Amino acid sequence: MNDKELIERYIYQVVRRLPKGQREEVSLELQELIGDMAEEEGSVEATLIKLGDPAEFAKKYMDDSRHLIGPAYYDTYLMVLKIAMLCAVIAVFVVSLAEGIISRELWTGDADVGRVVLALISGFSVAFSNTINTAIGVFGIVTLVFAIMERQKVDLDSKKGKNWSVSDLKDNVSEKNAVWTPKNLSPVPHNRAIIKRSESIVNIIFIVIFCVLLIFAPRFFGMIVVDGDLVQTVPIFNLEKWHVILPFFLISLLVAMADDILRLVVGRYNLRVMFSSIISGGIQIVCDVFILKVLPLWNPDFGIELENAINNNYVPPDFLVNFDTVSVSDVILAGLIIIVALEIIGTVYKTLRYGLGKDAKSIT
Amino acid sequence: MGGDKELLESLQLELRRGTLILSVLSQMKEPKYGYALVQSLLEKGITIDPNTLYPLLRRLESQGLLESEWETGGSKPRKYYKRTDYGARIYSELLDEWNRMTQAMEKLTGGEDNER
Repeated sequence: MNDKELIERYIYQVVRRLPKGQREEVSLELQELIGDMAEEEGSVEATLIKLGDPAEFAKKYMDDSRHLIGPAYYDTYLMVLKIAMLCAVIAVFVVSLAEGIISRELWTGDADVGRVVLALISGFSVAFSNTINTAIGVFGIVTLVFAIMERQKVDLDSKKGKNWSVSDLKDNVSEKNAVWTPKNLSPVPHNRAIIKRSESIVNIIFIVIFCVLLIFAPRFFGMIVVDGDLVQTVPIFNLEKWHVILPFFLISLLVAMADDILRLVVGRYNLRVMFSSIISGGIQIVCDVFILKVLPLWNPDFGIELENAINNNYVPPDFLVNFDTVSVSDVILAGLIIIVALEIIGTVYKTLRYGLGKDAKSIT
Repeated sequence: MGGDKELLESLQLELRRGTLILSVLSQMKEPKYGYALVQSLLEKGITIDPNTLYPLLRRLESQGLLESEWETGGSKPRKYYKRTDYGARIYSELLDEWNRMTQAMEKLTGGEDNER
């Protein structure tokens, strides 16, 4: 192999690892460098040995972007990854476990111990494989999003700026104020003003589970009737009108989830959390009223289907067969409104009492 | 322990890396091509591998501190780099910082009461 060929090969091994736009120029530079060095070193071969592994050389040209997610995003990345992982994995595990256990084929036949064990095994195996897939998927998506932000240099500092001025609503520090001064240090929150992360995360997990069930398995909400070798579910919801009902459920749940995410990010009671709680509570109540009082939520044939499914062996109680949808709706609605109202009152109380920070010390 | 040597080397590398840009900028008032720069730095006691220098020159150019021109007149084409005005300004500020640092370091490590 002659020198020219050797140089060409070496340069090729370097530039093929570089972005296309740089290749031509870099290969000219290397041509120059190797020529100059060879005069000094005595031979091309010695020069190339001194320059070392072309792959390593190429890496030095790429120094700027040799990480997927840099320090600027790393902390946020880890936090988002953990939360997203936890929510998705638990939700998917629970839902697919239920789905796996109640899969139909296993239950047609005598419901003996063997079948129950089989159902459990099938449930867990489905749950594990779905969970692993989900975990990989969530990891991939979160990492991809952050890698893109890293490449695009999306500015998270504006968000950090907001965090610094969490109490800015009363401290009248401008949110756009990019220059950090000690004035934007929010006071250390009172113990009782701190929102436990676990609370928000549990809420988010339940919301995700509920969303998944409502979207993929609305039949689960119903009566499960075991009659000899047959297992039937009689849905309690009106599945024929589900496409109309579902969006309102989802709006209500997603609003609740947004509120919980805000709590998770802010981590303490303050005016922002309080207003978010009031607004999201309001939207939830409007959705609930709409779902329960306006939309045809309940399965109109529930009683008939239930009687058919039970097949005369056992007479279901009358309140199940002819259940009074109007009063059931009223009771549920009242319950939901009370829950939302308590939540809002609790948040407002804690915000006004502990969350404003001005008298954090005097209360302890 | 083998780890000691590795640690020392990586610390030395880190120390040197900080001074590299300053070393390069200091030599770039007049246009120079890469290998000539390697040698002129070597003469003054600064060792830099060409496979570190060439990528560095490109980076400094992309940051606007250097500008380059291909000279095709000679026996083989050579790329000449030279400080831009912006590069000169940055260099002089880096130099101020460097002087402050060396004075401070001298105080920290040079006195009689400095224990080795």
